[in-house]
Amino acid sequence: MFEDILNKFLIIDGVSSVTIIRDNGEVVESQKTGDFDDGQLAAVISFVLEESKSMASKLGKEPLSMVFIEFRDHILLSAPLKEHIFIVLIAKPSANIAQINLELKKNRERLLMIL
Amino acid sequence: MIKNLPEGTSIGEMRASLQWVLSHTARFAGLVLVTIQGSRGFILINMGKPLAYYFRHGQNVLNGHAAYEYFHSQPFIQFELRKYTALEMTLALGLASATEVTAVQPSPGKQTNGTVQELSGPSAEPSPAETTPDSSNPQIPLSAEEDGLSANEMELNEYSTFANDTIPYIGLSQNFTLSEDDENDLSLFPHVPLRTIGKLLDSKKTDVGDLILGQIINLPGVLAVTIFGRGINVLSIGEINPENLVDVAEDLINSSKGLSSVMRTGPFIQVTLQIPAGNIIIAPYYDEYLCILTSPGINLGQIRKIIRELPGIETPGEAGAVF
Repeated sequence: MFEDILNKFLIIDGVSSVTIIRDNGEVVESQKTGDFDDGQLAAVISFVLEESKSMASKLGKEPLSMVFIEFRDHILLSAPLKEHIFIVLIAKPSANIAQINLELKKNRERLLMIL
Repeated sequence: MIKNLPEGTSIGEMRASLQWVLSHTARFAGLVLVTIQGSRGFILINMGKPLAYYFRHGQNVLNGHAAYEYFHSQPFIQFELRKYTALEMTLALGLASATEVTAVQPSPGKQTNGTVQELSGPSAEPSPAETTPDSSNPQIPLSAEEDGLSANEMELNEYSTFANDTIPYIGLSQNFTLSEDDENDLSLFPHVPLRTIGKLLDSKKTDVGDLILGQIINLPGVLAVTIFGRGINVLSIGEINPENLVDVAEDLINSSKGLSSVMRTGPFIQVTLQIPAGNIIIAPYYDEYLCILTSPGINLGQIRKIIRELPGIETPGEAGAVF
């Protein structure tokens, strides 16, 4: 079930990884085509999410809706699914972020049901 | 404060309501020097967008929205228009930023909902929370002259002077002369490509920073812009307390860069946080970082395009993400 939903992201042009992680860095589920270690990736991302939440709280004590990090060769998009659990996607810079966001909206409820 | 601002080129004096001033300065970049019953203040305007409001009466100083509301409460204000070159605007913005007179962009509701501060004249004392002591500037009486140039006349009469003054800042030779048609082409100036400004004024990074902040803050939906680095806020414009953000923003950047240890990411381009109240965008800028706060719903693609055009910013791969 998890696999089916995550594959919907993976078939989007340019997306190389989709991972569900807890904010302590634990990987809940992962689908990827790249050769990186998703455990290490989740650990680093957990730090990014922690700092992102700190920054959001500094600006108005509001919850984080999305984190988007852009590098020359990859982009990373992360959004909270429920408390302490995030979805993280890695894609090429040419990927259509709007399409990823749309797919995220369409599948959020199904993911929450499984989680 | 006022005496330290660039003098600019005086266009003329007139009397009108604040609403009239704001609606007739869409192509004006410079200072609106305001006089109300012998006390003075100013509005710094760039192409119709007020960047800073300031008014001083005796020892009391009104900044930002408080000054705006006071001007707005007056049926008419006496003012002088002083047109600025790009460099003069840069200097004025730097001064305004340094003394924290950056304007709150007034929302239409605040102008019409009847909550405008009741100040019948300069004799009314502003509340302590809205005032700061400033004893450095003597009051300068200004003669009332009601038959000055209109804003439209100002544009036609003075634009060619302004255009010629701007030539050095857009990369043309000092010997370059504008044709008569070009001198009156309002679309030519001062919409200077940011990258061009950066190349030309590379040795004056702070000036460039002022100019860039001034241009970014004018984009629809941009609430504040700041440049920071190594734990220190360098420049900021808009409604922001940069001291609250600098440390946590640098921690966020450092943890984001940590992704490079796990996968081959290439150089860091930018990070964007979305919260219900808006967006926070942080990108490297020379040796520092540029942080932009926007309202929700802003076109992030437009902001990313602006950031990519900035001098000193690493550009992404050939295509770039599509928003």
